[in-house]
Amino acid sequence: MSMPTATGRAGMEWQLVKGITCMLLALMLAPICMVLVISFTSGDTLQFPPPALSLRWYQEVWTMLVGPDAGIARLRESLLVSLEIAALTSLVCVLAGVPASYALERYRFAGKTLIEELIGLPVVFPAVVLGIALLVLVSASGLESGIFQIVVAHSIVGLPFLMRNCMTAMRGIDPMLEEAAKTLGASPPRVFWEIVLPLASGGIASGAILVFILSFNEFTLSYFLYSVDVFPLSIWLFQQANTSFSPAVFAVSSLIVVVNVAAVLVVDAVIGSRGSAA
Amino acid sequence: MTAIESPITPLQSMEKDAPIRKPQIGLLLLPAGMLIGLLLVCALVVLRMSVGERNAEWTGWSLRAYTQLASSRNISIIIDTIWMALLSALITTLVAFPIALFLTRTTSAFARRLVLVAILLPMIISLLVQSFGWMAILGPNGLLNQAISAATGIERPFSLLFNRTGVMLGLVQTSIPLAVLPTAAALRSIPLSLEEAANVLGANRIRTYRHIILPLAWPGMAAGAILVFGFNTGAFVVPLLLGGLKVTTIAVVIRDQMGSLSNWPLGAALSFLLILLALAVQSLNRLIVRTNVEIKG
Repeated sequence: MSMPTATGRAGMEWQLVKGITCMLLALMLAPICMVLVISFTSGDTLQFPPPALSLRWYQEVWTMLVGPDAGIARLRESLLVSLEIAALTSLVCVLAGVPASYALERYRFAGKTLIEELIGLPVVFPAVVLGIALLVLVSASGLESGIFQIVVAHSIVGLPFLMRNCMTAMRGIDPMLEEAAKTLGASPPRVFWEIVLPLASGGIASGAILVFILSFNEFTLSYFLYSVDVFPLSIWLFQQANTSFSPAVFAVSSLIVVVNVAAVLVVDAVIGSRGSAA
Repeated sequence: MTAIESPITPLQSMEKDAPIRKPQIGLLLLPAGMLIGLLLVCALVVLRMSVGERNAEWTGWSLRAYTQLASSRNISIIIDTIWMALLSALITTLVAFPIALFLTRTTSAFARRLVLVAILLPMIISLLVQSFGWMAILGPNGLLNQAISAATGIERPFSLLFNRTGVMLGLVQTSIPLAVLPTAAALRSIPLSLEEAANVLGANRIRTYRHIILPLAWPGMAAGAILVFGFNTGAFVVPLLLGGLKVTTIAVVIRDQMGSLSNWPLGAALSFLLILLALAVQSLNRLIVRTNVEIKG
């Protein structure tokens, strides 16, 4: 047994911290692992442990995606809608968030603190309330807009996440560079386009990917705003879970998990390569 | 960073130009302002409907919804939701502490990155997918029940799904990153030399925790706890999926009132209550962060 140290970075105390952390992380990841394991079952039910491992349900998902009945299963349709919503949401958040981040990061003006507070509001605003209120607005105004009502809802929630990444990236840019460009005769838009944007691109990209993942996985807002024609993947999963809870649902879920993990690793690599990882 | 004052002060000169570009700042903020503006409109819509009359939400005025809010059934749902959010905040904060401690103290960059990804995944991956996993673990034929009945011989000893235990597990699991990150930030700001000093002066590890680490880490822990509380008062997916119809939170009741029961004013009044709770959480959070900054100078 090793002796305790002054900072607890060795010895029994450290072993305890390490042990508890491992246990807790295992517990937290348990449901995700469970979904992955069950998706490989050869049986017809969600039995655990699976009687044998097979790719049966992945084949089933493949058939649902590209088989002759793909139109009835609607899996491909909802997957494409979800990707479209997520891409549009990222785009809207970048277009709205990048200029706002620049204004908040570089200039001092009246009402700045208030605006900063307001930008953080969507993070704490209850999603159910936002979803229902938007639904009320849409039906009261008669502006049924299919995919765009979901995109707008997702963009409101995604904006703070994009701006947080973007503002951190802009804070790291030396104002001297912008000053130098101005001295050399560059107009403010040109300074923004040729100095600020390229230097902040890592932060903007990681923010955009984060918003993409959040939108792709979002359920609550989509639950209130989906329609028969616009049917995101999360709603498809929810309805499948309520009707036929087959291992195919778990296979689709596993594929979503894999895509998410890959995206998180990409964000991590983007931030990591900029040398500013949390 | 150099300690020498630079003779040129670029930021100042940029500010000098600022008044000329004021209209441009408005332009830069406009698109984001439109999105946030829509959110504020939503809050106003909810407020208007909550003081409207049933079936005449836009034209009538009545405080009926708020008297309904005070009925014993609704009060018990509100207290229930707040209680579950409080309990989940407490458990999450306790559970987050060792993880945050490991995250700040480990010397291995790989371990740190691994832990970060592991705590962020439950937050990022669809709650729906994770609920499926919880169903497979907690369900009547789930992993836990099988393991326990194999060990004890009792058939289906536990009912963990579609009740508070399942909901609580889901709430804690999905909100752990919210508590870990602020706690880790607070722990990171404690210099190791303080602990060494305590050790030299004869304090054992328990005293060091009580008198140094915990007092200095508490603003981070409190900020995390408040965040978790705020998030879980508005919880919708976890109670919907892991609570079945047996656990009703405010958010689930709002859906029922606005949907199948079409009592829009009551649903709106409950929504307004959730908004007020969220705003209270945000200002409390800001207060803690500000006090913390003042303490640190």
